[in-house]
Amino acid sequence: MNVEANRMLRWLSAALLGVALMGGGSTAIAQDRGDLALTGDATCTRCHDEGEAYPVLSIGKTRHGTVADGRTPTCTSCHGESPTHVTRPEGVAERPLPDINFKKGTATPAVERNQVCLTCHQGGERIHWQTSIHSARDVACTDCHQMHTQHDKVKDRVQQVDVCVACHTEQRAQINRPYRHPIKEGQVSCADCHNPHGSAGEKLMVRDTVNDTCYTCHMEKRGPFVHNHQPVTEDCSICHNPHGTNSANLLKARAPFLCQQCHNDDGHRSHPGVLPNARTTSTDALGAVGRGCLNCHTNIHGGNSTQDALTAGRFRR
Amino acid sequence: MKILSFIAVAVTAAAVSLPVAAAPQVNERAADQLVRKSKCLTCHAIDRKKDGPSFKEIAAEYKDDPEGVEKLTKHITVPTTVEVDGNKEEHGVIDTKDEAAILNVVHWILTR
Repeated sequence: MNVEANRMLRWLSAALLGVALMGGGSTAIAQDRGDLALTGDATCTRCHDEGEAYPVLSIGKTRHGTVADGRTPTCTSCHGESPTHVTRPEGVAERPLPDINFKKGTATPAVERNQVCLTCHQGGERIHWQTSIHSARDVACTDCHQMHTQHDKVKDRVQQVDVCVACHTEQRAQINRPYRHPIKEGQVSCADCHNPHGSAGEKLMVRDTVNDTCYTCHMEKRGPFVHNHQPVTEDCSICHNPHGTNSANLLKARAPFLCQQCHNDDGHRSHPGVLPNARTTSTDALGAVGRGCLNCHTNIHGGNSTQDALTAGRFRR
Repeated sequence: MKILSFIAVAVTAAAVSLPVAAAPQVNERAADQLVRKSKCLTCHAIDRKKDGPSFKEIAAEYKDDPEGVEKLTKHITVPTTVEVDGNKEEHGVIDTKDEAAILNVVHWILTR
């Protein structure tokens, strides 16, 4: 019986010890965990770890966190050495922020923030950054890009538009109009036509002109044609609004109103915009009654017809 | 013999289940979000020591204290000075005035 009792006591002690150990995590000893995501990040991740409201360690999943690539940065490459943030100076109540902050509303100027990125990323598509309108208006790289996340929204073809229209509100309305490029469907993205990092041409187009950019897809409009329609050769956006319109074919207005902006009664060659005062089959007299300029002038982007001057010069088939 | 075994099992079960049974209803998600938003986790961790003690250590110290809830509530709502690496530093306060949310965080800490 004594043996049995001793055995039971040992069993009971072991059980109670187990219970004690289950709740014994509270006496954990502080451990230096070393670098968690980037090379040399231990100083920062001592405080800024998985407990941050804005996830910081997930930078390890991004290209910036590829430690096998010797060019990748560490925390201080972007945020500065920040000695006063690491060790709070005596007599300072609140710990100073890091040298370079990227948060919205930060005191770090956009130029300074952008220079951090351009230290590595100047060149290529960003060669014109300094002369771009985004740079001139103090847009920071981090206004559009997210560094610490694996999924940078602005690099996703479908979600990119959400980032752009957050500022470009007029275009947000236009891409919801009946006639538009399939932007919302992810078939066309803003960056297909624009280079937000700056370009040599106007409106941050990816090519040097609006037309050159449009021709990258709409090459049949490029020509060369025997008979050119001058506005087509100048700028597609004279007649079209590529972001979206209420008229078919992304036209800024319906025919004949769009056409009559140039082809009016007292100016450029045109048909009268009034009703005929007698029975007639003359197209000149009928004018723009049918409102179907493009029914006859089918080759409005330019024609190669050799039929006769009347047909060819007026972009008829 | 059987009685002793039964007692051992009963004691074990009671010991394991007691803290759970005594724990108040805590909205884990809300507490976690508020603690992160208030940057508590910059200096405290759940189960390891950072600049401040772990929440488990805090819970062990205060959960049996009848005034534990009151003390912790005061600590996270009224600015105080704490010592970090031998230097005096201001202890931050929770980023809300919602008393229910504050109480939820206190109970969340005490149940770590």
